Amino acid sequence: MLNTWGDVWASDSDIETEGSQDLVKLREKHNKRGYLDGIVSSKEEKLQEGFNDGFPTGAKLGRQVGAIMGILLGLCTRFGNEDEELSKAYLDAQKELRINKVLSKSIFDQNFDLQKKHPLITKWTDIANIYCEKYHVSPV
Amino acid sequence: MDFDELLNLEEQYYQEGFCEGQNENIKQSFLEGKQYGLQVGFQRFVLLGQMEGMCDVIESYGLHNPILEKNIQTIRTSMKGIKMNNDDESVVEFEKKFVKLKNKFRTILITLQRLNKDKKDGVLTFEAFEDVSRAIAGEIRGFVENEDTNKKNSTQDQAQSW
Repeated sequence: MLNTWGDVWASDSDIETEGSQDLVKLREKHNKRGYLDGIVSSKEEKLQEGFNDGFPTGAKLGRQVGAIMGILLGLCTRFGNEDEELSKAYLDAQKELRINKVLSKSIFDQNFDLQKKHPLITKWTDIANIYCEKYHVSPV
Repeated sequence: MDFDELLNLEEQYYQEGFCEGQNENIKQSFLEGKQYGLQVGFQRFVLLGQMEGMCDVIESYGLHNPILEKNIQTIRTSMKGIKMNNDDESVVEFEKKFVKLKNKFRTILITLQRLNKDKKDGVLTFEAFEDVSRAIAGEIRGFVENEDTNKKNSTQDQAQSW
């Protein structure tokens, strides 16, 4: 008899625990549903905003890389046959200044901003300028 | 707890989740867009920079050819006014100027070939010149390798509509 009563009347603390566990589950379920809906909402607008924010930096880097390549290519076309080092520099630049290297995540901070001068651009500007001086081209 | 209370609670939890999701989405989408903006900006300006650099070199050849010098000057002047952002007017202006710049540069290379006919210098065609920038930057809208291979490719899908 006592056992039966015990089963039917659970203690207050039991009820509370059971109740809050249900609430946790309920919360989990609906919170997750909301989260999933929230994460796919208004995506386009923010993508465009980010795009416009990143574009000028990318453009500047692209233009700098292009200028370096243009100089090395131009000099190679004329002096490449006799200047082995120049030819090699041009080939190396083609590899090292590829877009995936220049825009590598490790060079940017977590917000995709550049905190200091771009190391690859700095390196290759210096190299290009050595040949600019050698062949009397105005420096980069 | 009655039925209405339960519904309210469900709604409240849903809203909480929605806000969390939206905030995360805003941050992630912005960065995703930014990364893609960096790529496209780069791709759009590589060839322009390359023409700029090549013009410097051609001038140093000291060929004293008036047509060549005039064309280089035209390219220089035209490049000065180019805005490097993604505003609508800037993009329209860029597209317009870029076609002209490429044509001008093409004639420069042709002049150069003619002047260097008798020399043993390598011949540079505009196609070969363009290939160099393509090798550097990939095709416009092309997929760009990323160290983070787990990253979802939704940016690329987005790209199609831009």
